Amino acid sequence: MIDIFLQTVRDLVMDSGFLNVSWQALAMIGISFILIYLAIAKGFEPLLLLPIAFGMLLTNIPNTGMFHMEYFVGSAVDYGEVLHNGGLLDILYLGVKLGIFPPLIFLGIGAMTDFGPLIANPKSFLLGAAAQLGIFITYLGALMLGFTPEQAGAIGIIGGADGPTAILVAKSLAPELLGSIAVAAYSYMALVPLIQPPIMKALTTKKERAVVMAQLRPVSRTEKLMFPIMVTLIVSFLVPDAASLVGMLMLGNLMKESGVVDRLVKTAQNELMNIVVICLGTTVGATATAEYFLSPQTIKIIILGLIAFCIGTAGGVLFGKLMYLASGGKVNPLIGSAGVSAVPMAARVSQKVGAEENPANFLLMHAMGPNVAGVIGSAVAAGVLLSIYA
Amino acid sequence: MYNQVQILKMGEFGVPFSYSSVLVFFHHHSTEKRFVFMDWSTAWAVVITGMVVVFVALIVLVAVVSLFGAITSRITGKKPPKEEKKAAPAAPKAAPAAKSNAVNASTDDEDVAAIMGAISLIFAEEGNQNGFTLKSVSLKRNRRRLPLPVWAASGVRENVTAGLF
Repeated sequence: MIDIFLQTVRDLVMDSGFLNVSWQALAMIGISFILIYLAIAKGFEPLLLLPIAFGMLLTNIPNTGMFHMEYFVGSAVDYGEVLHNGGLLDILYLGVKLGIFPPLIFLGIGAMTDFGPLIANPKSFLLGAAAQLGIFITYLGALMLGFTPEQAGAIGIIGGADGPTAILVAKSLAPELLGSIAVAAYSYMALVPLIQPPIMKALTTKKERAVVMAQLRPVSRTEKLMFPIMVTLIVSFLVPDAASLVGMLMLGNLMKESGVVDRLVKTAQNELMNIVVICLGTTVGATATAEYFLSPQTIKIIILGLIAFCIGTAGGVLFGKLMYLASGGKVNPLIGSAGVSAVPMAARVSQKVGAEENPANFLLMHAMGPNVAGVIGSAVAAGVLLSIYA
Repeated sequence: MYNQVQILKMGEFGVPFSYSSVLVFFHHHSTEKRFVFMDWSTAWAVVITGMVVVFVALIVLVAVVSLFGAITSRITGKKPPKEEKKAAPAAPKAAPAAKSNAVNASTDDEDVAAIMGAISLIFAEEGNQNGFTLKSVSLKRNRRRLPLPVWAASGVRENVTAGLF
């Protein structure tokens, strides 16, 4: 009996994480602590960064069996293996791998978004398009640094400043980089108020920043109802690979604007969004294993992510300057920076920088147009990359 | 992952040996080295295609949304202009009890309430697309024996005009 007891204890000790931990796993656990601190103490996109950080923590504890990256890297996933031998996070990760969670998050975002400023000033769409320049320039930069075209596409999408879009593209094109890309994307989204203002001030003059824009016209309910239907049809016909993201975004918006499905809207805005965010964040964080995260590639991704944000901001501002010239000084170029789809943070940054020049200048609603246009633009860009490489 | 099949797939892009091709050296995550022949003309084609598609898609949306906005504003913007003229003199009349030349906002809450009542009356009318400028506020003697409060007067005015038009 004592032998059995000692054998059991020996087996428990041998299977414990303490005897099977590596320095790389400990380093990743340390990184997860830093991300948890940033999320809680500094408020860096906590809704997603906290689950991502905790997923990173869970996956790097040895012998838990909660997540197996090897099931999902490669062209085909063995779903039988996942269902029979997978852990909790393996099963939940299927929602990411099958492209379910990101569109559901877009459903919630659509249910919370007011496209009125965009409908009132449709030219804002162009600013949203110009800001996607960051995606494609970063794609080139990633190729120069030695990434494959698929990986470069997944890294470039960080420039869209859209978390669900970045996750959807990364899980298809470069699942081994998903953890790094998600961490970079959400960290930089939280740093938008620090990254954008210097670029905006460098590319504009005081006179341009002080431009007061005319009040937006009222938008009728009919327009708000027709808008999601038109956008879904046009974008899905043009870029079918963007249909899942744009379609769900517009479904959420149509539900909100219809006013006849309040229960569904409340669910989409709250319970559904929260459940999906928990599952998505935790499983995306779980992909950040030591083997894939602790590599020179991660540092390159972090640098490229910053470049993507900067170029996206610059692209939007420069196009805003073009519109300023074309309109005879009626468009404030600062709203171009809101074309990166970090809603509503980028719009608030435009308001803040504009108010520094002219305290009576209220750019927020004008900037919301390019801001939400950027969501559509980044989804279209993602569709293009997926159609080429997926 | 970066095996021979992958290298061959990379080489299938465009013309592998074109003058614009660049030899790229990179590390596999397991430190195994591979040379991959990268066609930069293809890369630029992806960039240009991507930006063009994004712009085309959003330009089409600009056109469609603008067109639809023009159609709906033409349909809903049918109210005669004289309605706006009648609303304009009605608005200052609904803002009585102000001092003669200027409103002392820091001391006279009733005056501020009167002005706010006038503004709310103006924007309560649907289809008002033009902005209004409040040019003057003057004291007007109320002929009623028991004067209505400002808000009540605004409400009466709103209900009367809404019923007439």
